[in-house]
Amino acid sequence: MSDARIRLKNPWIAGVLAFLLPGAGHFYQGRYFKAALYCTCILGLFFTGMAVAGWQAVQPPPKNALKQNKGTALLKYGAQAGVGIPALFALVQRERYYSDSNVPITEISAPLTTPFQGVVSYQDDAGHHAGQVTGSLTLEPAPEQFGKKAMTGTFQGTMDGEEIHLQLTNRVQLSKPIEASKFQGLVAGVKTTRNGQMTDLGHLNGEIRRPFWNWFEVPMDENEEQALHGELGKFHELAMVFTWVAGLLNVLAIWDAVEGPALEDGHEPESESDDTKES
Amino acid sequence: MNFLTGVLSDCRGASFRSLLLTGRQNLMNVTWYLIPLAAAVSLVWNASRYESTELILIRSGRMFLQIIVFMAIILGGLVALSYRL
Repeated sequence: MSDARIRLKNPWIAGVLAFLLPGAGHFYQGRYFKAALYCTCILGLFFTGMAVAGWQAVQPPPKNALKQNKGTALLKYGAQAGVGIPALFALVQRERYYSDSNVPITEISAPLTTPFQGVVSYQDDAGHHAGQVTGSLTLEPAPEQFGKKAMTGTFQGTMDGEEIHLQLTNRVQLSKPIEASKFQGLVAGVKTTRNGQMTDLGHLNGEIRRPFWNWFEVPMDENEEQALHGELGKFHELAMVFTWVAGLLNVLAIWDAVEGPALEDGHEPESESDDTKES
Repeated sequence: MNFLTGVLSDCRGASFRSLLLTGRQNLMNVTWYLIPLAAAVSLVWNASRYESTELILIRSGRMFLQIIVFMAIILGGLVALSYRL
């Protein structure tokens, strides 16, 4: 119901703003209390849900979701998308994830030093060594061989509590830069000296931290989704409910921005019993 | 390179998932999350119906209490039904 006492300015601009960011439409209209209320309640619910699910509650539906029989994923995302930009960002991430340039990395343009953890196995003159390693990994461009770019690097850290330094071969590969996991897999060959000769019989497997923008709201495959659900249990469902409810509540906020409140203040019936008394 | 790809797939498997979740395991009972949920729903619902700040807060408070009491009754019923199960 449109209340003449409330100045809605341009209701359609307010509606679009309210959709893009809960409370923004009301802020534009000068209804600051409601702007703060909608922003706090809706975004509070949404981000609480996101935090409970490790910031992985929003999953964009696959392209052609209906053709792939994944209408449920579309519905789930549709409810979350009600909060606007915070959920719509998932569509950008979907495009990045499925782009042709999102492939495993075998070359690097500039040196990179990052924390690393994983496992190593190699042989040298002292025998066979294997164990868990934690430390710092430095990756750098390797000289081109046969016109093919590659990367190499060094690892400095500890293996089972002992200091270790490893020189990597040119066979270093990182997993895709954009994936739902917070860690990026790495596999590399390790150079060792055996019988006075350099060999590359060892290998190093592990992971480095992935930048936030390269995993946040990125589509998960079914295994990743099931693993997350398995880890979180009912908290995964709780997180989903929070994000769905947040998106659906913003529909009410959008409606309020476009049309004004549903009831005029002071003109609504108190309760059914009051109606009966009046009649 | 196929070997490398295979190993990378393993790296993304369940063993590394546990690292991802470290430090944010939820110890709070899931029921407590329903209180802010009920509060947010009450506030937003009533804000979409009224314009007066006072009316919004009064109605929201009333609706919040109704939701909590309703859920408490349901919870009590379920606890009673599951007694000595």
